[in-house]
Amino acid sequence: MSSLLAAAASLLVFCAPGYPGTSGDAQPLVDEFATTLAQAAGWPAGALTAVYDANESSDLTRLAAPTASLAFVPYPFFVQHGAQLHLLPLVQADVPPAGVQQRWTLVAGKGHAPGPGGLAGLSVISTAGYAPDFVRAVLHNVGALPPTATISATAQVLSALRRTASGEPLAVLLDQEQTGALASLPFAADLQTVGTSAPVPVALIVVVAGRIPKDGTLRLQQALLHLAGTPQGAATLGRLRLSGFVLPRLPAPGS
Amino acid sequence: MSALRVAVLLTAAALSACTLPHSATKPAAAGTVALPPPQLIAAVERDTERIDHSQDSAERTGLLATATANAQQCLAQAPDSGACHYAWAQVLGLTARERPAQALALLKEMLANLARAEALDPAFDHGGPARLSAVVLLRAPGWPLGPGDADAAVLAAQRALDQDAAYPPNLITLAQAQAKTDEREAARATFAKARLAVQAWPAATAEEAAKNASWQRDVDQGSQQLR
Repeated sequence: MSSLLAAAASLLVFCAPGYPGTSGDAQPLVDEFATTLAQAAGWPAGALTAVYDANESSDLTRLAAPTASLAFVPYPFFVQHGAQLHLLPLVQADVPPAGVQQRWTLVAGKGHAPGPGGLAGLSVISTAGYAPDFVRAVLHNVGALPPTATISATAQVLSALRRTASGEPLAVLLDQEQTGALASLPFAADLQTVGTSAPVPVALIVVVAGRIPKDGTLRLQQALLHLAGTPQGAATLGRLRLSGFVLPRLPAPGS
Repeated sequence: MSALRVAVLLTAAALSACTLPHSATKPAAAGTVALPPPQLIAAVERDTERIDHSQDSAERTGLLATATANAQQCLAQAPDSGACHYAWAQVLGLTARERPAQALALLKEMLANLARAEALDPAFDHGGPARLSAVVLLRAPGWPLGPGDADAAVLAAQRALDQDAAYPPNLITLAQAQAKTDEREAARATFAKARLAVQAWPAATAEEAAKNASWQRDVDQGSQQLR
């Protein structure tokens, strides 16, 4: 048994800033995930607990606590806070329908799309707007976002798209699922794509600040990689709308 | 993020907060005898209230089956009754809570029935069809996962208010919708009106007093979140 097992229960924080749903709603599912994962990794019952939190600020508070040793994070959250919180990717989530990676698409109103000069003057709105470093990074192959550009978070993407379509000087950064649904909107003809990012991970499970010893980390990683191969693991993942996990494949810096 | 959409689906649970109005007709036990629509609606009302408060999954399943049968019988007898469509919509909301995997389809069907109810009888339950539409649009998962749409919720809540501007839940729903669309000043003003409306609403019986207290909590909580 590693020293981990003798320690207090580890906490897995499901960070979901900007996404609807409350801890109470999701708690039974993340509890089940923690139990299944602990069992698969050979951890004692109760050694791993989990919590779902859709608020970025309280996510950061939770991750600062010494018991928070793991986190399930959207890739934008990882880009924004990974270095500061010492987040080490353990696995990359396979999330249908996108898969293990997705492209983000910048959309503007027809007639208001930026010209070849770049994205100067644009105000960018996105569910990932809480992570401006991610927004700037993911748009770098679309065009340089000037320091003066404003980036805002919204959970009301439909409202943002309506405002954009009606001529407000905005651009909305959409994830792959949102982009796929764009054509179904009645005002889709009033929108146009400015550019699409290179593929980036959808979500990661990370070790927080080295709070799990190396032997425990490797065992946990193997358990995660093989979770979809067991009936219980597949059922638990299915309820979380996950297909499984692969080894992390992060984009090279600047790519 | 799709990975976390499961939590979104579960927000359907919150929709059960909107129960049918208490009708003047005493609830009748629904059995093999075909009951007229007012009694069927009263039976649905009784069952939805019990489902809302029951902690027993088996009991909820049984009550939901009865409420489903009664609401469908109501629609079969009176397909043009706004009250029957409203009752059916409430049953669909409760079904969504019990079956999260089907929640999105059920919520869409719920909205379609509420639209029909509103077209047929917009004043029923103090503008209930529009008010409940607003609640669904506010709490359901948003685009592209589900029918949630805060802008549309504001419009629906305004239509409910047009039916009865003194009914506190209409004001509370509008204020909540305004808060969600970042109309914070308007939301503050509407919550202030809602507070006055709650104070003015009669609370002669224990049941009415309990409802008043619940509305007051909604106003306090909503106002608090705007600070």
